[in-house]
Amino acid sequence: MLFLGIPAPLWIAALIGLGVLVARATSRFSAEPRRAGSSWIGEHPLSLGLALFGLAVALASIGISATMARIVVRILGTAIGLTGLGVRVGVALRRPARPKAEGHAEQARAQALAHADAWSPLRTLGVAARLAFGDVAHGLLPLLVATALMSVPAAFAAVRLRALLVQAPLPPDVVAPPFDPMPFLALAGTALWLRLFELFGHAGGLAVALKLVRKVRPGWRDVFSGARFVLPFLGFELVAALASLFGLVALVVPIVIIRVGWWLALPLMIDRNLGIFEAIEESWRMTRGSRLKLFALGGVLLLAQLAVLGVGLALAPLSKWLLVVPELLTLVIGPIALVAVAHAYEALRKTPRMSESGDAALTVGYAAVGFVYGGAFLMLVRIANALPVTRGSHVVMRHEILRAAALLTGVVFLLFVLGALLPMLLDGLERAGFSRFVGARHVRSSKSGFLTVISLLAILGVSMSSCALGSVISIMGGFGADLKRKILANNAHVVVDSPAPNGFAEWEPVLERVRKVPGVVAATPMITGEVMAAVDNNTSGVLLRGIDVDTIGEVIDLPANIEPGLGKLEWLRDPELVANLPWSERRGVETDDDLFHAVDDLPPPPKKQRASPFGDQHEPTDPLIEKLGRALPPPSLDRPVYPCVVIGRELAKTLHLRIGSEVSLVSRMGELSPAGVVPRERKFRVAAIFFSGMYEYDATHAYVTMDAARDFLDQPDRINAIQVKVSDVENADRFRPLIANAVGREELRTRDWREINKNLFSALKLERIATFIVLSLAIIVASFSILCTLLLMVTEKGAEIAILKALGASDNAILRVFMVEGMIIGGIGTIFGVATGYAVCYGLSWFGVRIDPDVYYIDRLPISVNGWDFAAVTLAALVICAISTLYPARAASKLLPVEGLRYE
Amino acid sequence: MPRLVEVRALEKTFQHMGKELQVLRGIDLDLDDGEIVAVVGQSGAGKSTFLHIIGTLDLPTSGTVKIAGQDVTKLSSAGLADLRNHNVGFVFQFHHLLPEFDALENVIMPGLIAGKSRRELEARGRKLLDEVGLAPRATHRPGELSGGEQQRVALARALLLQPKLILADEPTGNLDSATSASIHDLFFDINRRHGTTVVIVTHNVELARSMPRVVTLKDGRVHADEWRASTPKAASVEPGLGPVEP
Repeated sequence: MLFLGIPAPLWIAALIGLGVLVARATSRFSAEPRRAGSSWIGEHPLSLGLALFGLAVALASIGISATMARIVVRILGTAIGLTGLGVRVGVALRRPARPKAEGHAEQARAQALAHADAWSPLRTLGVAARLAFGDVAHGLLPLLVATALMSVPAAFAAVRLRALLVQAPLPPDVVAPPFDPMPFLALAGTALWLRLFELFGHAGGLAVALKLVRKVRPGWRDVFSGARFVLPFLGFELVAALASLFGLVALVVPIVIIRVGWWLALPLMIDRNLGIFEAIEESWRMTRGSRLKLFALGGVLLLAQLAVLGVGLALAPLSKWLLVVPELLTLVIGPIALVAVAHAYEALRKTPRMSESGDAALTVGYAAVGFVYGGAFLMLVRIANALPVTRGSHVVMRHEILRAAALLTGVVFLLFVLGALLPMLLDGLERAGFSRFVGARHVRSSKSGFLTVISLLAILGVSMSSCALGSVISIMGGFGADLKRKILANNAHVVVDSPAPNGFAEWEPVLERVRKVPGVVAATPMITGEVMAAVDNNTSGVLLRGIDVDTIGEVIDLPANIEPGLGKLEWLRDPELVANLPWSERRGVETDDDLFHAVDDLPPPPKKQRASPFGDQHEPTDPLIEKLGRALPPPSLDRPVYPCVVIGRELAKTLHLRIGSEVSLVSRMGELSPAGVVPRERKFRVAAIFFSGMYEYDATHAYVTMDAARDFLDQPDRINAIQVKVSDVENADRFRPLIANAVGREELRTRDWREINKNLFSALKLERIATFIVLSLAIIVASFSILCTLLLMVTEKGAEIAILKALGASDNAILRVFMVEGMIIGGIGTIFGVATGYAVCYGLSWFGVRIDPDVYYIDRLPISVNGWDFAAVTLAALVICAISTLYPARAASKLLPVEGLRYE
Repeated sequence: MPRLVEVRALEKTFQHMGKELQVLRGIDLDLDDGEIVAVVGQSGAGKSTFLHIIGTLDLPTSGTVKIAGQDVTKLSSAGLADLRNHNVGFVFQFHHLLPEFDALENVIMPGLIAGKSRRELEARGRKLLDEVGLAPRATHRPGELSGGEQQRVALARALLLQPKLILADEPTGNLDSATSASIHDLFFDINRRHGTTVVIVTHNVELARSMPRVVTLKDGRVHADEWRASTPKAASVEPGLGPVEP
């Protein structure tokens, strides 16, 4: 089975590998020493449970009929399952093999004791049930009252909702009344008021539960003691709801983590009288390291409540009295839930955490979010690939948004993966020699390491500037590549011409010889001259090119550039045909302006007429007619036959020319006339309009047949150039001497396209280099913040440096330590920035950023993603960061040990 | 046979606000292998300065200091670092351990500086931690250890590369008497077992009295240099005389 062209087993292996990475990343960002007791997730069957759960979800998705939902559920299930599996495998791999020596017996004993005291969700539930139902008078009854209060709004809503929704069937000929939202809104409003009851009950219930857990007999006053907590609880609910909204951005998982982490805030507010935000902070702190267990506990309780809801939904339509059943069930579950929370709170309160331990829950959450983004990315890419591609100014917003979403999720997923690799990198560095070990460890420290605001800002600065540099260089490269492509499409690779005016004669043998040169694909002769094109009072300078219609297409892309529906190149040879084209062929470049200007034998249009007296002859496939709103008179026959010309789009726009229109060409070659020498003027007809993509060509090039050019420019036996196409365009300069040899005439010069456009390409190159340098300044500025971060670290660690020197570290070793620190920070910023830039540019070059073709002459931003460019950016950034680390590192290495050891 | 430490006419002067402050005014002292010495004196007498100079953390203004026959004033900074690494172990009063590393990593740090392999260092480190009685705390960070435990880790660290000389600057100044006593015992233990020369700067009178040799500094000079008869290492009975050549 293939997915995005890659076989499924490979995907599975990749996902498991990612899971293992995640498990390794349970060494967390602040490298904590690995204690045997802290790998709860690995030793506990929960990880295996996660794996099975995910598998079950993925399998269950078979039952879903909606394709999209099925895919989503399947991806989620697979992701969860593989995360669990990977974590299990990874932790198992990671467990260090410690020799069981005698000195460790004590340690093992201590760990075992610690394990016994550690609370587990299942045990908590058992204890909670026992406590809740154990003491009926002083335990159960108060809890029941509290639970009843808590369930008031839900019960009320259930009854009212049922009444609103379950209606008696209407008689068949009565129209159902339109949907009236008012009762529902009223219900919602009342339910909100009733929430106050719920919060009151909740507070009272928690107070009772806390006392029960502490083996203190609760009294009836405790149940009703919750009045003063109602508003704070409400405030907390609001804060939690807002936070959940933000968490939606990362698709649910952070909401879960937040909810679990803040679960103890309510008991804290009651027990220690904390304010809302203090309680949140304290709950977050208290739950560190136990969040997965709390999630398990909460999950069980939530499942129970969902089950009750399910029962209610099933029974409600039958009879309104059956709603009592879910209420009774709630009264059973409620007390247990209250006491369970209180028990968890007590357990966590009594085991103060000695140091900053890592958090397996956060790691798993991180991985889960990463997987979700990855899955979303894959899905969106698949969809985006299937979307049709539109050109010109026709943009379908929905498609563009889908493509942008695909790009965004891809970039976020990439960042997640890079972030997961970070601890591994630091671990690797720590295993290396002294300098790298100490440097990497310093970077991980929570007080002044890379997770502090200062170094995060430094990293952000470096990554933003390197991302910008890479992207700009790519865009400039794209423009340059686009330019080159257009030049090469519309010009020959090698041109043989004469520096003298008036061209050269005896060109046929030269042409033959050139055609025989190995590597030459095609050669065609050309007559050129500068003339003026005039229509009424509009004039425009034009480069007239007399071409051999048969062979011109082999050298340049003229035939391909003829806009569809706007004539044909072959018509150059058929002036009669062009003179008698039907209206349907006489199209122009469609802008509104064009339509209302005088076009040869068309009478000036009346203003905004609608009715059509002539409706029948020569019926229009002509959009002109639709726009004008009336039919056109039949084209007059016997229009004079003029030689034909093929012009560019811009010229057609400027002179308002359409296929078949007349245009006068004026040459500076004088003609003798009774009035003296006057400029030679000939009328031509437009046979076709081309679009090359280069404004200059579209505005100035005009093609006629060789004969017409000879006649008009008075050059019967001379041509101006031989245009040659070679097989290897990039190395056209290699063919130049061969062709020059074949030409064999001293007075002619042979130039390749690079030489002809030398100025343009040198200017482009210079521009790129200048931009690179200027944007490197941005990186230099960003590196200043690395310098400052390092200086901060050096200042803080004066005593440490002294100790290290006392232990025998040389000045150089200290220098290397701080250089390593600076390079890690700079390296993180560089890698993140360059990777983001590369991913974004790659994605954009694939999907395309639409720009206004009327303004920019192209409909998409041209981006050329070149690995070498990004490598250059990476190198530049790393070098700049390395230089910025020199000063602080040197300062550190010069510290005298005695100074660091002085007592404050 | 050269003495382990030979100090001749050691002087050290500091600049303080434009004025010169002469802390050490000419000290002559010899230390042998395997000695355990207490350095006592009033505050400001120059004990710490003296210790720092012997440990090559500071250079004398004039005079010579020879460690294992090498004149430290002639060595480069890198050479001094190397000498310190292999031959000297320090135990300070404050700021002794690196806070971001756990106990084992702290202990093996001198070995990492010397470029030795992690594996053999960890084995040796664990053994040393066991010797000082901290085997189960190998993965704990200094923040999780008590003051006495931290000093023991520092001692284990000082022993890692089997230095010839251990210099301790008021190692128990911050600790209560019971912990101090156990630390002192450790010093003696190490001196006996490994034959390491131990120099302890201390205010603790009890400790000083229990040492076989006490050097008293006053006003930057050696005021007294006494050996005691009560300990096995005592080589002479009368105070004020030098040791009898073995």
